[in-house]
Parts: sequence; C-alpha cells; structure tokens
Amino acid sequence: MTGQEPMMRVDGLEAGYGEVTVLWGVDMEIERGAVTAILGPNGAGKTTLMRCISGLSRPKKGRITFDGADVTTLSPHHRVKLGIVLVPEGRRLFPDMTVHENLLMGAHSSAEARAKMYENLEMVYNLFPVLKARRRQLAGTMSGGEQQMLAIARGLMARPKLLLLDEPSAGLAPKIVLQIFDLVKLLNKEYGITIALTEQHVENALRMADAAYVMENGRVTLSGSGKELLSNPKVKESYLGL
Amino acid sequence: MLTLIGFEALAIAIPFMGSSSATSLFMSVLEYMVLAYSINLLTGFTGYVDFGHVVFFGIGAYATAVMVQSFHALGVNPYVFSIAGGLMASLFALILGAPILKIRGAYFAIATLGVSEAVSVIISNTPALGGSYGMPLAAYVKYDLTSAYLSMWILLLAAMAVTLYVANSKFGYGLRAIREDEDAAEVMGVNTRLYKVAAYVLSAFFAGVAGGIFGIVTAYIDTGGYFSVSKTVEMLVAMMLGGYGTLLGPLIGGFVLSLLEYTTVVYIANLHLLVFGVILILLVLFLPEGIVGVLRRRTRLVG
Repeated sequence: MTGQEPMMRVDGLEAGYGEVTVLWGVDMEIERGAVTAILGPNGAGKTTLMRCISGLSRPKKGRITFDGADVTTLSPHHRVKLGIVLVPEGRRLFPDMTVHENLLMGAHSSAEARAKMYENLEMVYNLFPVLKARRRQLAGTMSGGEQQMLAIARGLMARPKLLLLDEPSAGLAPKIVLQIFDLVKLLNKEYGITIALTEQHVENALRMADAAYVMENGRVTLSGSGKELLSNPKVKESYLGL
Repeated sequence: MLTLIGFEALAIAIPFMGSSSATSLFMSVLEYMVLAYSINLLTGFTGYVDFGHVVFFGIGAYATAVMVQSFHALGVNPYVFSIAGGLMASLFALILGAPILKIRGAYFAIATLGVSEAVSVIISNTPALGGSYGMPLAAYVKYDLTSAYLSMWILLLAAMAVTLYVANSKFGYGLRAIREDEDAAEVMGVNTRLYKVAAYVLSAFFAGVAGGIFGIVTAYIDTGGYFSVSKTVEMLVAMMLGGYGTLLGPLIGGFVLSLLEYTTVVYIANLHLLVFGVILILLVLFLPEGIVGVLRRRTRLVG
C-alpha cells in the first residue's frame, strides 16, 4: 500500500465540547481497503474523533481530508453522500420504527443509495437473515446483538466507502462479539469496504486490523500495523495483561 | 371510508340547513382539527414540542386583518386574504426557524413560548395594529358564516392532504428519524436543519390561514384572544389525544376535544382548561400514543 494516498487523513485535530478540549492534535491516516483500529481506554477521545470524522462535531483546529478533498467543515449529510458513514456508539437505532424502516432510513442519504435500495436490501437481508425474519418488528424490541447487526446493516444501506464503527462490540455477549469481528472482516475482504473502528477488545481488534492507533488522553501515543502493536511491550503490559 | 365521506358530506351541508348555532359549533370543531393538524406537522412528526404555536395563528389573523383593511375595496371575498395570513406566518417561521430549532427538548418549548408572548406584547404596543384595543373589521366585512365554514373545510382537506403526503414521503421518514434520534438521523444523511425548518414553515401556514379565517368571521381581533397560551395547549392536547404523527389522529382528537370543550364550557364555564390539563396528564401517563396509536396496536395484534 506504499505510495498510495490514504483514503482519509486527519491532521492536527483539536476538538472538544464547549470549553473542554478532548482531542489535542491528533494525526491519523486511514488506508484505502484496510481495517484501521483505534484503541484506548474510556475518555481517550475515540468517540470524539469519530464524531469529528463523521461531521457530528466540529473541530477547533486541524484538517480532515477524504479522497484528497477537505471535508473539515462539511455537514454530516454531505459526508454521508461522499461515502463516510458512521455506525454510532450505542447503536442509536430508531426504536419505534420497524427493522425494515430503519434500513430504509439508511438509504436516505444519496440518490445513488436510493436508486440501489432494493439491491442493497437484498444484500443486507442475505448477510443478516435474522433481520429479514424480523423485518416488521420494532427495532427497539430486539436483543443487543440483533440491534448491533441492524445498526451495521443500516449503515451499509448508505453504500459506504469508509465505514466508521464506534465501539461495535460494546455491551455484547462474547459469542456475539466474535460474530461482529467476523462480519467486519467479511465486509472488508468480500465487499471491499474500508473500515475504521474503535474498540476496547484490544487483542481481537489488533489481530484483525491492518493498522492501529492507540490513543490516551486525547493524543495518539502509539501507531503501527496490528502485528507490530500486538508484540509491542507497552501494549502487552497495558492492554493485554501479559 | 364510505361512512367518512358520508359524514363529511353531511357536515359540509350544515350551513345550508339554516342552523347557525350548529354551524358555529362545527366551525369550532374544524378549528380544533386544523390547528391539531398544524402542530402535528411539526411536533407530531419531529418531536419538537412547540408551546408557542399560537403565534402563527395570531400572526395569520393580524396579517389577514391588515390585508382586509387595505384591499377591501377590491370587492373580492375577504376569506381569500387568509392565504396571505398563512404566508406571513410561514415567513415568520422561516426567519425564526433556523435559530430556534437548534434548541432541543424543554428549552425549545420554553423558547417558543417566549417568542409567542413577545410577539403578542409587541403587537399590543403597535398603534398601527390597534395596540391593546385590537383591530375591528366589521366596517370592511359582512357576516358570512357560510364562506368561513367552507374556507375551513378547504383548509382542513388541504392539511389532511399535506399530512398524507408527508407521512408517506422521504421527507416524513426524515422527520420521524429526527423525532426518534436526531444525531442518528444526521449520520444517516438527513439534512436535519433543512427538514426541521421545512416542517416548521409548513405547519405555520395552516395555523396562519386558520387565524385569518377566524379573524374575519369574528370581525374583531386582539392579542388576548389570538395569542393566548391556552390555545396552544388546546392544539397540543387535541394532537396528543388523537395520536401524534398520524394521519387521522388530529381529526379524531380535534373532534373529541372540541365537543368536550363545548359541553364543559356549558356546565363548568371557565374550568374547562382544568379538565384539559387533567386530560393531558392522563394522556402522557396512560395513552402516550393517543387514540389512533391504541387502535393501530389493536389491529396489529389482531392482524
């Protein structure tokens, strides 16, 4: 992947909420076709970074470029049209809409997504047969794992180029967590979707990721390939308990 | 459906049967329905509780009154001018919408209440609009309950048509998504700011035209009657009672509530607002989805 311009580049990003600064100059590159993991403890700024990349939060300083174009001040709905799609932390489904309606909302973004809506629906229902079986059920009445599947499926309906998954495995049973990781691999390898995800399951995430960043207190403290970080003594000590 | 059409045909025929008290009762039924549809387009679909919705009713009434005063010599039916009242209310919503719809939750409710009170105070201190005396229109319009009644019917059918369209459109899905989770709607690509303002402008129009029609038929408007908080409460209760964000909710809620008001006003005079308050509390506690919501749930269970 050397010599190729990364799909997304984050330069010197500073961001926060009101007076409080959460991110202190974050630099990051998300390679095309890769899985990038963003790791770190609670409060490290992972979700704020995701909010900035997707446009939900405006950075105070710094630049975000996507496919070479500056998107720093673009509103979220414009970024979705470009193919930057966030599956937010805590799933954030539309609880009183049915499974099917949630999926339709995913295709709300662009004319392209709407034109290919039925094709995408079929793909998503093939990928998640459980969603097809429950298409008329209200999203809020499903189990946590099913809700996470639906949240990802809803994101897929927007035809993402860059899929951002914020804590996709949070609060799920270990068996379901593994399913989610398998799904991420599948989406990346079979469907060619570039993926960036934040995770607290550090070991699983590093095994899967092509590249990884470790964040602490709003800064990137370590970065490298998944393999490199797995054998990094500091990561071993702080996150893997070895 | 046939019975509904039959009922409507009968209701439209009321003023031609010669009973003006029945007609004015039905005027009030129609008013409730239209205003419930109006607030439903914003609050029902997006979840933004507008406690100052009456401001559009009032602005519509005043704008219509000014038009009637200025152009009565043209000799056209004065109810035509109520459309200008609706447009004026929409314009006000357009200007106010972008800043005020950034505020969420209870703060939005309080801000809208503040705006409607402020507009009321400004108008009652503007001599050109009659100040605190209000604007008498009797010199320019003749009493014509039939025209008023038919205008209200046209407005109601228009509000129903727009609601039907919104409920099944991409726009309507976007509004519902905003109601359920605005951040999620945003990351799904909904242009939330544009959608909210559009809903606000649309809902303001119907309240504005209704205000204009009532201004003409009563031939006298003042800020006390046309900017009263209790009118907003009536709209909200009618919408909640019928079922928010639904097509038939405002129709059913407006009908039930206006008849309830008619009977309570007769028997317990000014205490009817107390009754409405109790209904609102009971609704929120036990029937948050309103009558239509309950019926829908029943049919879903059956079907």
